[in-house]
Amino acid sequence: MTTIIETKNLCKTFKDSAQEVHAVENVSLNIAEGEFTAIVGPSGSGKTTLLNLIGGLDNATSGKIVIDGQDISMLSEKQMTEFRLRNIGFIFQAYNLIPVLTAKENVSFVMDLQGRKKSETNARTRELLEAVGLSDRMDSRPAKLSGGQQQRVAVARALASKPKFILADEPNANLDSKSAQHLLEMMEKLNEQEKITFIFSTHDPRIMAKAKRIITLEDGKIVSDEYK
Amino acid sequence: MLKLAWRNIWRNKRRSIITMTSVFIALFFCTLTTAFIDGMWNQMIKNMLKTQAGNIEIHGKGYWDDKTVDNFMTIDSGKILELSALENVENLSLRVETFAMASHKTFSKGIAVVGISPENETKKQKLNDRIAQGEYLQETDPGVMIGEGLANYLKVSAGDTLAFLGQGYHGASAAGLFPIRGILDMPLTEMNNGLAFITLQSAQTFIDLPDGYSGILISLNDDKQLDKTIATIRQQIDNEQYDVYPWHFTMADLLRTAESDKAFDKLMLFILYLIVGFGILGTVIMMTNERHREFSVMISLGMQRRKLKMVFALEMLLMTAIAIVASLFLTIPISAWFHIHPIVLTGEMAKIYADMGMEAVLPMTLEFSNFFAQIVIVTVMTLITLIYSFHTIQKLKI
Repeated sequence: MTTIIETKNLCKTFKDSAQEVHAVENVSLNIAEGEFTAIVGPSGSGKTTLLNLIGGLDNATSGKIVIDGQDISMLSEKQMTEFRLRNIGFIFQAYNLIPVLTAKENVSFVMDLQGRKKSETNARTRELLEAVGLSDRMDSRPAKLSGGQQQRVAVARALASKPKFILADEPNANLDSKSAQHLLEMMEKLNEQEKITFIFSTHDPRIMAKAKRIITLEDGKIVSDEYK
Repeated sequence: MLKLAWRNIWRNKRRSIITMTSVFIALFFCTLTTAFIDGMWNQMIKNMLKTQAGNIEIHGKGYWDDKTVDNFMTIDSGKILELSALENVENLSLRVETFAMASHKTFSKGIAVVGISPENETKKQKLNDRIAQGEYLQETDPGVMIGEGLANYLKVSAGDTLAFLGQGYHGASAAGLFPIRGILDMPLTEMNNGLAFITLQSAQTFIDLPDGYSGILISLNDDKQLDKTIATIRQQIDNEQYDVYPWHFTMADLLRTAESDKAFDKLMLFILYLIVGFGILGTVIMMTNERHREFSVMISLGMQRRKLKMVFALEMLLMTAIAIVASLFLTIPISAWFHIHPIVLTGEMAKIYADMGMEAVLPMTLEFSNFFAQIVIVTVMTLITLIYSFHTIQKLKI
């Protein structure tokens, strides 16, 4: 399978006046297209930092990240924003939907930024919201949706831009077990049927059980990398 | 972008309404205050032009800087007729203004002597309405009309004779006896105590300069055509011999008074705008700070910071625009109403205005520039407050 993410000796160090914290230390890994990968580890192990580095939301202190052949450390802030828009989907722990937009508008938001045709955007929005089981809540604003429903809208939004991969930072953390299970099954289905690459940072054993690859971090370092 | 901005305005309705209301109130009061003050001064200048001065004045070369008889002008009657017939000229008043010592028995006083066309002044100053005693001068009358204050000082009444002693043309002595035809009730103390009107012909004889005038006052039908009319007049006369002045020049002192009065009002309006400006800034700060996370998410999803700034600017400008439209919706009809139906002064003020031959009304201006200036001020103020949010968005860590 084609490698879409490659990190080489990736390091991220946070400095404050008292000390230096090595949040990510010499992480080198390859993630191939279609993987369903979980990055696990205790709190403070560097999972979210690694995800942020891969997603171009933070800059590495040293090392290299190559996504689909593009060294993203070479990109300017503006180019990186455009790169994220075209290549990366995000699912956040706190859903982070835009509160003034409806479910439908939240999903089409990214496509509007991409400058897609209105008809294409509308069709894909409908298709994605149907896929996540929210065709009847298209015109609801986030405040009128449950946590599970909001996170499903977030999944649809992440898929909307047709990204090369989706980064999901503890997507189940704020959900009840039923919603979490439903969301996980939905993402697994998308991975299997649509070959969409998912990379999770998680503590959730249910995600770990479904993941085809588990990368374990401790103190910013990879301590194990297992394929099932 | 527009939809997003519009929805963001209404996510905190109360705050947005308070912000828009404060902008609306500032615009409402500033527009109407400016319309009223400008209207008041415009009316005052209009009244002055109508009664005391002219939109245009023609004087002999050098007279304005040295107002002596030796700098008087002469002009033939044919040229005067030509100027009277010019398009936009409403009225043309010839003047002979000089100084003299007025005496009666043992009393004497230095006064201003004004040579007028009595018939013409019935139209301009309406002097005939001011006769308190005696009668109005006739066109070829060798008599004089004086203010009540001067008559009391010299202890004279209609029928008595005054002796004038002054300076004539080229150093000659000017002397004459003038029977008092009428006593005038003049509106201003200065005029009442130190002014005498004689006919043009008498004045010219007095200074020994037949066809000599201190100046010509020209009233126009339309002051907006002032420059054009001045240009036409300059083409008609010998510019080596005469100076032509617009009223902005001849009434510079009044204009300076108006400007200083307006400057004070502008200071008041500036303070009002400053208060409202800080209100807008407060809203901008709140709207920015409470949305750090949301802005970060939007940037993470791929929205360029430039676009995000535009959305935020659109929100604030939309709020400002709503306030502007609301204020225009009210201020235009109000200004138009008081422009067409000016506030009519009553009581003592009305009497003072009427005594000066002026209309006792205070209209509002209905100038596009007034509305435009207020809109520009509010918009610029909003744009300035946006610097905070732009800076925050630019520095935002995602």
